[in-house]
Amino acid sequence: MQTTALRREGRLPIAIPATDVARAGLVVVLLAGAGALWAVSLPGYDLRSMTDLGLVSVTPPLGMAALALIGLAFVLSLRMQRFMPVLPALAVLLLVATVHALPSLVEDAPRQAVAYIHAGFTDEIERTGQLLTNADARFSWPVFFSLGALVTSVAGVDNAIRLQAWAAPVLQIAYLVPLYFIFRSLTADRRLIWGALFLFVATNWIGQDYYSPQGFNYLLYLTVIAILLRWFRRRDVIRPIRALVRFFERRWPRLRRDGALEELEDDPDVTAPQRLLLGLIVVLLIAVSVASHQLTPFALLAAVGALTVLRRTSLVGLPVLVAVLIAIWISYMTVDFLSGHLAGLVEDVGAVGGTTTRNVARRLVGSSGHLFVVQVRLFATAALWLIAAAGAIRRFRHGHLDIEAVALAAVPFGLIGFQSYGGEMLLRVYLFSLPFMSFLAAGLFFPVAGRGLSTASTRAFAVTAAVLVLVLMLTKHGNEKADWISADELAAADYLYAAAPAGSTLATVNRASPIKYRQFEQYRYVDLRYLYEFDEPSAAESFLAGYDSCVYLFVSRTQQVNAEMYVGVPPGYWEQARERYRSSPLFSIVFENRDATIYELNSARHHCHSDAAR
Amino acid sequence: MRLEPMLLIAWTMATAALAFSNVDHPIRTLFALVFVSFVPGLAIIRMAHFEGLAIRLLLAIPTSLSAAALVSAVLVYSGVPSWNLGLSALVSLTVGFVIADFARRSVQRETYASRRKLDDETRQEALVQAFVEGGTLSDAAAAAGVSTATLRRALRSSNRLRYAVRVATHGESDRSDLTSPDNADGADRAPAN
Repeated sequence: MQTTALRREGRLPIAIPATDVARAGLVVVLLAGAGALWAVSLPGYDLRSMTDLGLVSVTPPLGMAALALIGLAFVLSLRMQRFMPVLPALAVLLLVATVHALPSLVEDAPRQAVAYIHAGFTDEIERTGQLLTNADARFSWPVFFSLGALVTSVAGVDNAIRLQAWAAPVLQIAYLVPLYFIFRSLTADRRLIWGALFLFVATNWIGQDYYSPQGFNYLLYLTVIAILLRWFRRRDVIRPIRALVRFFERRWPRLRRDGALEELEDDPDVTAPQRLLLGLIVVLLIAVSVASHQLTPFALLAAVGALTVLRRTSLVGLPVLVAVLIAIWISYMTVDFLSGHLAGLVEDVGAVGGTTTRNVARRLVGSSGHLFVVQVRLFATAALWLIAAAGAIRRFRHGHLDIEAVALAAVPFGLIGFQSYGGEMLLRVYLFSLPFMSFLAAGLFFPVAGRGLSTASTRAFAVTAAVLVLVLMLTKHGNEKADWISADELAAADYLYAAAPAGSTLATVNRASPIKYRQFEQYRYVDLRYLYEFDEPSAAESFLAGYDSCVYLFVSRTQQVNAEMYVGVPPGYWEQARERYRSSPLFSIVFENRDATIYELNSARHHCHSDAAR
Repeated sequence: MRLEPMLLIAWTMATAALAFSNVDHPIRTLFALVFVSFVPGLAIIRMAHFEGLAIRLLLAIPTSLSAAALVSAVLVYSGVPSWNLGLSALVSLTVGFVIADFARRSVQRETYASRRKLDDETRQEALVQAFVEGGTLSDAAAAAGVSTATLRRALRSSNRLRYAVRVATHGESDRSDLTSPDNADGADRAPAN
């Protein structure tokens, strides 16, 4: 590599030019200003005023200005002649803090109803050590929850839901470590590496960074790929790809001129014991993934399979090992779950069109605000994928054959033909391909290693970064009104568990409730399926009376928001229904605060007293 | 980091003490979360000399969490959901790896020191002479002014020294006490720290 290029990348010591000193000072000032503006804006978040657009609707102008400054500071940090990684690193970390840690700072209780369910599974395993495989499929892949049980027990935390409070920023930062190594294996251009990291943080709106098996498994997925690309890499180019390159070389003279593949950093020297240990770590991570999540092992299988087929890894037996581990786990450890659900699981296999339609169409319902958020997400997704495709082509025309990045960005799409995953498969495909899409998208602005950002690329990247960062508030936190759990709701749920005797039926209008997080196995949970039975107290009474136990109906703000946002229940309908319950002789209010009401079914009250006496 | 093993042990012991004595304080949570997220993994990867903070973070965090996950899964599936036992297993794993690594490095250091002692030409001549005269390993060690153990370690780890003895004794030193199958790589390397 030329000396100039090395100098541009900061790999050769040179005197810091005066323009760089000024620019570094400006970047620091911009970041400090952004941090200050953001900190000042935090008390201005009035969550009660939030609309269906989510947190962006209550973000003070200073908060939005802070985001724009971060984007600007990041782009400036890449423009320096002497590259200083600490500056883009600060910008990326500040972006994580300002966007991904925002709910942790402005909300008064752990968010996301589904995190409460995961906390409940953890609590159940911690107390009883039993796996309720018939109660929920996730108990057949329980290792994340057993890990949570061990952690909460050792840490002396009363409930795993406390771990949810800071899960998002912690996971986002944890992801950055393997991502850095992945990108470093794909390019020697440090500006491209940091550009890709920034784009990853700015486009990771999927929201799986919470107390969840997927959040944990994504870290394992990234780490396995990072180890394979860094320490078990082969540089072979298989014949069809070589033929493809020759075909394009004949048509694009520049490709023929630049010809050679990008000069990557030398593969790190590793001793035999190090390779052995790395191999064992890969096996350990895969084994834990297989036992803790339904989907990630298949994404891993696709990724390592692609690397093996393309001869880009020396661990050629790994796909077989992953497949065998998956087969063993499914065959022996998930029998209880599979016995009742096998038909449902296999019906989607090969139904790509149906799965795609269900994944998209199911989300295009609800309030106008929610629909706007979904449309922005679809647009942002399409835009990222298009930029990534353009980046791959542009880099290829400059002689960089990003075989691994293209393959690893593409193979997750194969999962669509495998399962609809409850209508979430497209989201997971986006998640698994995101690191490589981010890399290829950043490649559009850094097509030539070591050449830095041209003026035109700087403008384009600045606009892209600013748009992505501002849109991130909408894509990432667009559902926040429905994801936010207030302290009042949590207080009501605490009351419910203190008051309801074991064996009671705990009913909710829909599943968006901060319950199930404790004593999961001691209660029966029922949801009234979105108002069909909630509409009239008499209908709910006849439905719930059949459970032959003490019955509590837990109605909270989050359930109302979910019904209005996702189902399209008209405003005012919910209040009318609550009034009917309030005046109904069939139900009695046993607890009420600003955000939640707990009703007791009068006809089942005798069960409560006898249960309590027991 | 020279203090890293001590730090690992201290952190492990503090976590165990706080957890086993059931201390109800946020400091216990801090110690436990850092322990489960970093410490066992760091103890494991130290065995293979991975240098650099970023590489250690890359490997230590998922390895730690996966090791803890594996321990917890074994407890649940074996029907012994005792989380104190799980913590004990992680503590044992950490301490075991730190001690094993410490022992390995100590042996490496001793071996290196032994070789350094016998770098002295006068000593080498004395010990070769002792072998030429048909002396035993103890005789050669006494002649060279080192202990028998030191001489054995030096011969085991240094191809050059063993070769010198073999040449001096015209191949007669092809004796089991002078060669060892342990010396697989035979490289004259300084121990890594």
